[in-house]
Amino acid sequence: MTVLLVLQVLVGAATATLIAFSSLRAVPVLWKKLAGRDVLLVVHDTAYFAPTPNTADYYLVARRSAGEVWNPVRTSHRAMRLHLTDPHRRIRKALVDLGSMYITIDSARRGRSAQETRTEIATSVPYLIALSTCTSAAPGWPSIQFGLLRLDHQDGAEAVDMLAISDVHPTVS
Amino acid sequence: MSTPLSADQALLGVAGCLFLSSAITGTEWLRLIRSGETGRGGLLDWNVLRLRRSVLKTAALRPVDRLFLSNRMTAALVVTGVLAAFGVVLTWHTPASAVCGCIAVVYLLLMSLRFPLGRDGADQLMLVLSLAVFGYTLFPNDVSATVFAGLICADLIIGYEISGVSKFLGKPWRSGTALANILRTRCYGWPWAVNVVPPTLLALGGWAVMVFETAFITILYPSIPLGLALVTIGALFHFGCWVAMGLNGFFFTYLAAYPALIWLVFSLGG
Repeated sequence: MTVLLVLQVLVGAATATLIAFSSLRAVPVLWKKLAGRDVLLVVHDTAYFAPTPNTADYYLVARRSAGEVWNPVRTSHRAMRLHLTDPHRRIRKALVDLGSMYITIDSARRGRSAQETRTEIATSVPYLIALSTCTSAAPGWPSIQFGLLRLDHQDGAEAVDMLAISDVHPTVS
Repeated sequence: MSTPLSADQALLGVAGCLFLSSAITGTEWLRLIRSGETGRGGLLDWNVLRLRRSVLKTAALRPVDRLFLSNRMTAALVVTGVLAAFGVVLTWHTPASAVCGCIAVVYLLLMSLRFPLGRDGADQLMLVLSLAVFGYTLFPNDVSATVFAGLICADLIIGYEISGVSKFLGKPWRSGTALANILRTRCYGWPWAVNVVPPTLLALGGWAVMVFETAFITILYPSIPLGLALVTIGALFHFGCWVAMGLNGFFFTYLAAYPALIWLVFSLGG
């Protein structure tokens, strides 16, 4: 019984710590030091759509080579129906997460040139997951270039922004 | 004066609603696995996601890595997690409930590792709720029931406050344009509504959300009508988010925590 009580206290402390960290998360200056340790992304982010809400749609697009038309591979479009279960919401969120990752990668470059950071970016998980997804969606293409497109809807106007464009990669047939 | 809902009953309610939420999200993960999105070439392909430094550098994660490389094993994990959530309710007040609670928590942690993309705040809240329920089932008594139900309420109240205050700090929200701009997206929006609903009403809607979330802390005031009103508005708010933004997970997960809030309202008001 003592063991169970001790375990209970530990679990209670863990729960309270998680709640405390979620409060800390609201203070960017404090959270900056801890963010890297939240590898499982378990700390609850409760500042939903705040202070600046997400007002963009994201599109993973691909083409055979530079100059060709982009083809959509994944979009964050939602079917306008009430779903009890909606697996596609994970894909929509994954695209938003990818967009956020690219924005973070871009700001982390800190004025370094694209050439300098090329290898770093090309071996990052967001780049590799986007490349893998696009390659799989376009069988038979001799080469592939992907892009992550952001369509922002601010006050009725639509602003298109290419968050990332990859190199042209030869594919293995 | 006794309250109509004890802390123990509230936590059982939380556990029951958590099972429902877990069943819904579990079904979604299983459908994603079946669709191939978690396999080779999918957006949630573990063959790529495992290349994160945090996974590669941690030797203890190698058995888990092997588990996730198999979609069948991942699906089995999902089913186990959902059944564990059901087991917590079914075996309430027995040692088996704590075992199931532990499995449910481990399941959620493993899912956090498996899916660094695509998870959201509802998943994070589910972990807090599951931890609280698991903690209580280890040694159920009046004191621990009060503590863990209280922790759930604290998480919700703090969460609403942070959400509300963060919105007040955001110019788009103060100017009344935030809700319209969010609803214009195809991702979390409802473009039709923006064309039909007058901008003033949308601006008022945004302000209503800010005021509700920031004022949620008044649930601590000992008034049963006020507390129940806040709980009702909260439920309607999350239902509205489901309808307008497709956020089904938030509705079921936040409502899973509401039995604890109802217990709090009656405890303070009584």
